[in-house]
Amino acid sequence: MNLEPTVHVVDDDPAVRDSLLALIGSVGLRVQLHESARSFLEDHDPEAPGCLVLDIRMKGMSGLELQSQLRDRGITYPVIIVTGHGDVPTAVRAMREGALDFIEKPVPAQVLLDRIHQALQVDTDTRRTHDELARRKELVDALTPREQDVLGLVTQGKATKQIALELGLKPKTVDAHRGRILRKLSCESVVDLVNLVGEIRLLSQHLEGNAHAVEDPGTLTGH
Amino acid sequence: MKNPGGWDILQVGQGQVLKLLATGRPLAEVLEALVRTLEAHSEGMLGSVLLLDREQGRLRHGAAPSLPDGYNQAIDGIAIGPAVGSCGTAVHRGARVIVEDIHQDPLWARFREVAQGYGLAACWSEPIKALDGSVLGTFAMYYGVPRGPTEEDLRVIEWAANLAGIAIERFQMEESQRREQEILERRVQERTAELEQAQALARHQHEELAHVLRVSTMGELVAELAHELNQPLEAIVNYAGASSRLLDAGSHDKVGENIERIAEQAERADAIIRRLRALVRRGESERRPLDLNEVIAGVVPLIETDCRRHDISLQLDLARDLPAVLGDEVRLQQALLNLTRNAVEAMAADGSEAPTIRIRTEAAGSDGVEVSVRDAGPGLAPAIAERVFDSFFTTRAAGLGLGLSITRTIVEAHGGRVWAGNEDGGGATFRFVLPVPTTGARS
Repeated sequence: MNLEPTVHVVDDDPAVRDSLLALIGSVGLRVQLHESARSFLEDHDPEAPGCLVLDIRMKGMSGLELQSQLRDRGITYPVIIVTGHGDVPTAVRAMREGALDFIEKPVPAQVLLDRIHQALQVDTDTRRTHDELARRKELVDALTPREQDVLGLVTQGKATKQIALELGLKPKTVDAHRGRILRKLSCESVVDLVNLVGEIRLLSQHLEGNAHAVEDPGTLTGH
Repeated sequence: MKNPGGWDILQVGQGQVLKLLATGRPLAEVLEALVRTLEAHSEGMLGSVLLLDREQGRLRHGAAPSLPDGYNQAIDGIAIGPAVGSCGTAVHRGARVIVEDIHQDPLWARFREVAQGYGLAACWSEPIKALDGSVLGTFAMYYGVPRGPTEEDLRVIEWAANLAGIAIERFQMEESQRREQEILERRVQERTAELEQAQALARHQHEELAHVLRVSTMGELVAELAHELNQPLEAIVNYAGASSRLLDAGSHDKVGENIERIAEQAERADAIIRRLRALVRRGESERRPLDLNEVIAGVVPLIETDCRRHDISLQLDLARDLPAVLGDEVRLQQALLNLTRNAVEAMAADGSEAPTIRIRTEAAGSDGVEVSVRDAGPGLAPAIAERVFDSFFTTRAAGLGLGLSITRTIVEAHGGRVWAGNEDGGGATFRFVLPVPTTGARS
């Protein structure tokens, strides 16, 4: 399983495919070529980070259809759309479907490479965030249900007596729970606990934000 | 030895054998049933059917359920000849061979030991013959002690060979029928494939024609050109970009290849331009004497397809002996197609009850030849009738409103004129008239 970032080029014209391989390969990036949207869906390895360079007009499954397929399957590669001349309405739709950017043919080489680097960064970012979130969530999930109840109330800033009242426990029990929670989550104080829960919330939001990533609308490229 | 049960056993057995044959059981099964029937009838007898491979001149195992496997294997494939046991000799002579004592008989000289090793002492072999007298194989009876046949035995062995012959011939006939069937089926498949290919070719040419007719205006040609050229141009840009980056990084690897690819893609772009240039040239006017009926016939399939898609019926009312006009066939076809397209759209939008298009040609005296396209749509409002042939005039949401103006351009370029009006019975008629050359050329 190769975890090197891979640029997936999807285009039904063989010369364009091969030339993109040459160009993107010339800056040392790993490229995988696909002659159709369908073969991309079948052949790519979702574990590896990467991005998509997609020709919007292809026979068979169109670029737009592929985008909705990606969404359905939870594939989060950032997508760079390459469109034919004057195909602005389609490009706009593609952007609304969540593409990172669209570029008109013939694409200036440096522009494409810049976008690709950007896209790969977004993807790596997203994956790292994902992993962090997963790690933290795991820790919290490892708590017993009772401990999770206590954690919830602790991070709301409630005092031991209050928590004991709400959960119908003895104050000493609540303290004991809190001690165990701190230990299990490797936190030194309640402040740390609050931060941890806050981070989980933040990371979730960040992931949702990336799914609609248009980093900077100002970079919609014409030339 | 007594024959218990006699001919009754044989009759019952025959019935069974024939039933197996009729129900399409494999030949081996049928022959085995036959042999067992005979063994049930003749106590102590071991039977065998061998089949003749005429090409190779060898006998092959048919059925011998009671003979030892080793023996059957030993004699399988034996070549026939004048002194090859009982069976090989019987086939060779085409006549019955009775060997009462294997140990003594010269015919078994080569196989004496094998036979005796398996406890076989006597062998009577009857050739199995087809209706035409050719030999199909042998039916043999073996005994463990030397003995000769009685009259009864001979009748039985003849009977057995007969029945075996029926089975084998029937089987061979079915085999050859099956083979012929396969050949026929294969031929049908090939023919079907040819048909499909021809259809595909026709469809392709249809599309090409429709395409040519569609892009015969300059603007569309340019758009087509730009679109097709994008691919090789993009490839060239990419290869060039790749090469300069590689060289910057100090690597010469693959640069040569990339440059070759650039040249290839430039060729490809050139070919596209050349092709489109030829199309433009074809699009330029060629004036030839034309029979308008034939010109129309050329695009009727296209019009029909359009009509069929909208459940519109197409009627042709073409005059005989039309005088020839001087013109460009492709252009005139486009002029007509634009009119029929317009008629289709008028009726599709209207939801007319009995949508019809009638194309008519008639001689129009000194004016020349008139072509009219009549539809069963809503007709033209008076304000529209004047402007309907103007460029970019359209009453519909889709479309640029160029079709009818193109028709006018083409017709007027031919020295004719075009106009439209409503019919009393409903619908509109679009007409154009083309002049006939005064030199009196006839098609």
